[in-house]
Amino acid sequence: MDARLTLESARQGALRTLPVAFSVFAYGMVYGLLTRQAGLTLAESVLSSGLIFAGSSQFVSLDMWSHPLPVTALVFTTCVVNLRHVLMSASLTPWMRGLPSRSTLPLLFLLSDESWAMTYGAVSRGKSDLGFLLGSGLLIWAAWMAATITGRLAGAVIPAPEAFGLDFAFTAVFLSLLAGLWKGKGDIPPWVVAAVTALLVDHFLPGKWYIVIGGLAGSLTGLWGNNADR
Amino acid sequence: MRIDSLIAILGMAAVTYLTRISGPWLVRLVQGNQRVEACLSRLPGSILAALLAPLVFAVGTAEAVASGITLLVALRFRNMPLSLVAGVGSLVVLRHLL
Repeated sequence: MDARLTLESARQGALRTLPVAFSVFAYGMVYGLLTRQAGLTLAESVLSSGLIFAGSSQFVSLDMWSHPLPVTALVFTTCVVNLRHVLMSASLTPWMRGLPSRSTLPLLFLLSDESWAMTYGAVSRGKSDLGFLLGSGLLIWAAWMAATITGRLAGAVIPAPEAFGLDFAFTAVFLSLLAGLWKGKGDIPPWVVAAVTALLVDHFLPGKWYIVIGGLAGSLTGLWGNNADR
Repeated sequence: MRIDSLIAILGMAAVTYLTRISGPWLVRLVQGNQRVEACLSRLPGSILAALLAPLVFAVGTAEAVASGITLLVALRFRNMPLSLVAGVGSLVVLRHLL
């Protein structure tokens, strides 16, 4: 397979990601809205979406956003929640060989759940090259930023999100992200172990440790030989 | 903007970027170790499941039922906006009923 990066693929990436960008916009609005609830300033919401650009970790951080900020815990939790990016960029490695790191390093900033899924689909079918990630990622970044600002400003009009069940939007976003990861029955053991561990840890330890410990516990089911063939 | 907010955001941005670029490096490191690869493949779902568990099971009945509905819609239609509407909508109805 050739390691290439073409503008034609970037164009395809942007075009085919368009429907996905709408759904990104929808929950980016929820993020923008919730940043107001969590007490972030407008500049803080814009900066977090622009520089971090990783939805689920941004949602998680809102829950911990009380001054004085638990900076270490925020950074650590963000790292853990985004560890999946390691796997996603790892899966793109075959199409990066031969490309100079001065182009792949900036390009990988655009890797998100959605841009990765779209790009992986396109390049593994041999239809496109890594340029796909450029178009797809830029479009999603723009949608995410526009949505954050829109949601943030619209939040002023919606005084009590609880009345509309909007406090549940967090949970719903994560549930649909989880459903998107579903590949088959092999996912049941790690997810159950992770959930049960998290409930136990949450009961006994303060803060967000349940995410870290539960996540690691679930992933350790991978040591269980016979279903390691995913 | 407060200085601690700026530090937190820059720190979070830096570690997120590191996760994005470390994949290819990690591939070279664990290449061939199937157990490590099997564990890594389960990590993303496990993190989400762990994160969700208290939100789903430790808040209330309405939240637990609405979570079930959200998950079913998400699995069936693979459409995030639709799942959001189904989840939030059913929660509002359930809160009135329960």
